[in-house]
Amino acid sequence: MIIKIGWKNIWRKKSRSLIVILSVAFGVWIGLFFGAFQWGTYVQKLNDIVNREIGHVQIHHPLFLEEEYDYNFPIKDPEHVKHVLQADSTIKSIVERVVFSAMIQTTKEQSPVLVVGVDTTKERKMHSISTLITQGEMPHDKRAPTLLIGEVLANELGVKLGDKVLIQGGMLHGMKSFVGRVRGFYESPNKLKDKLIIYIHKSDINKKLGDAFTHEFAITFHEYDSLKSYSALLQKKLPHQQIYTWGQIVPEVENGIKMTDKVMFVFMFIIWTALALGIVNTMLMSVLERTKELGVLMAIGMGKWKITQMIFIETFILTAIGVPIGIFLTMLTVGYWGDVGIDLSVANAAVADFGYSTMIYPVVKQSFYFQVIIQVILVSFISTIFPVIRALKLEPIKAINKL
Amino acid sequence: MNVVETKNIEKVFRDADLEVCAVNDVSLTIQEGEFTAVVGPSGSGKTTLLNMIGGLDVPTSGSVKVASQELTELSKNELINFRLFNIGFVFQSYNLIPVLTAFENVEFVMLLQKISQKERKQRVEELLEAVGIPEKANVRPAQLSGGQQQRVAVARALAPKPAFIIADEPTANLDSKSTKILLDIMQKLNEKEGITFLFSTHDQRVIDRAKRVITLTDGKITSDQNMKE
Repeated sequence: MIIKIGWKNIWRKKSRSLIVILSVAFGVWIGLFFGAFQWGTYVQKLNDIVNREIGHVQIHHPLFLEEEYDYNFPIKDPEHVKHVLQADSTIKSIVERVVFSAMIQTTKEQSPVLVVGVDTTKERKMHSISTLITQGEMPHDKRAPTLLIGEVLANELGVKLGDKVLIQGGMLHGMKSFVGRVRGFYESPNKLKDKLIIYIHKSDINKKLGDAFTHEFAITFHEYDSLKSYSALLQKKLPHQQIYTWGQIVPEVENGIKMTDKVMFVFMFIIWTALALGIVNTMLMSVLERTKELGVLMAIGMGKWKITQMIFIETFILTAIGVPIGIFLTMLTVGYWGDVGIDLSVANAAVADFGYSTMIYPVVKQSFYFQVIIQVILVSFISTIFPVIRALKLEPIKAINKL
Repeated sequence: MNVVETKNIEKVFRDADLEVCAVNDVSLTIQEGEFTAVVGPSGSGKTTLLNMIGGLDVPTSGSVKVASQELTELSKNELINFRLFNIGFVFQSYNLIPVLTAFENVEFVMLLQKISQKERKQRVEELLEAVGIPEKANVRPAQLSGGQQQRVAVARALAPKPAFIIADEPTANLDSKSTKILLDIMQKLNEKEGITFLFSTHDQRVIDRAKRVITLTDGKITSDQNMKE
């Protein structure tokens, strides 16, 4: 009967109840949609920067990063490292790279670059640089080293496909240089990277420089969620190497994600506060309008607990109607934009300059539904406490005599 | 057997510097099966007295016993529970729950008493029959006349099988015909089933039917007449 009264009570003022239902639906939708947007952004960033290139963790000589990618700090005993990594079942892919800072020079221009020597066959397993090639092809093992450079850098240097460039860097035996031929251009979502990184086949570098160095192992795990524990285990297995998580390699990306999380938290706090105020206002109005009736109910023997139940049930019903509507809206909108993508380039061209894709594909994690629904229910119930307290403070005789 | 027993009850309302003694040293007893009217001019303290007897208000001093229970010793929650099982209320302006049908309004109190559905249904049907509106069971208060609503209110008051029924000006909003029907019903319930009624009224038609009339003036009992004599 209490549920029946609650149900009937909410339809006394249909428009008011509809406002609450729509507020709840909007809260759920906006919570889920922005959660999906945030997650989509996160996935996109991971895909753009981490999965494609950096890997979940990297292994370096302990001083390599400190010495700013100095060629003279390769990984010691890379064969042993490779053996340990290959024996680890948590690891999905391993790529081995030669990495060093250098200068690229043409007859007219020069620019600092990071030379990345890749094994094209193995590299394909992890990152998809081949999908970013706009002209030419991936470098392959020929007589002269072939280069893949970013379009941004190519434009800056004024080089075309087939042009020769000079790569010069501080090697083990002093300054060394070699000539390479530009065989392809690439364009990634990260303009800074496009300007900085040039790809060469690892074996070409080894041939030219006369060493068989490895500066970097980039690794992805089967389970991303266990990244921290896996990397800690790996560090124990390889005590003489330094294991870096991707967040340590590109802290600006991790900080960007954390910042987004904080912005989302503030945003959601505002949304939930607005929803809470709406519910408090509506339920309070509902209680105040029924002052006389509540007085009668108390007079004839309806206890405080039952009064509390009745008002909470009213909120629960409104929430229970609003939540599925919100979920339905989320499915519609995330379904649509999850396929089509949201193009942020119009709103913020600078996004690309910071290395993020401008196309975001919202994705709803199953746990989002649970989290947002719990949050909405909590907000609804917390918002009902004040109207309930007001109702319970009523004195039956004063309430009945209220005009 | 005494259903109600008050001893020297007093109710003083204080508002800033103003102090009003609404009920002044009232002692009375109501026996089981009485049909008693408390009368007096407006402001004489009738409603305040009934509110204290009904456990809706607390006396400033004195003692109120209902069905041998001292009400002044009960907490607010205990009072609510006590009212649920011992006192039926009929209000001047009916005060039915607008979203419930006549049947549900009567049933509601029994539901609070946790009476089984079968028993509830049977009793509601009996009560609506007793007040003469069985055909209005599924009608909401807004579709009932004032007299019909008050009959539903009487049925609701009877539903929990209380020790007695307090009716505060039950006919004040009713026309002559509805008043007569309502009084007939209440009188019949009193005579045939021994239900105790305590009214506050200044309606002469109610006073004429009462077996006992207590007159209040300025919060004091100025006369207490047994009308059979």
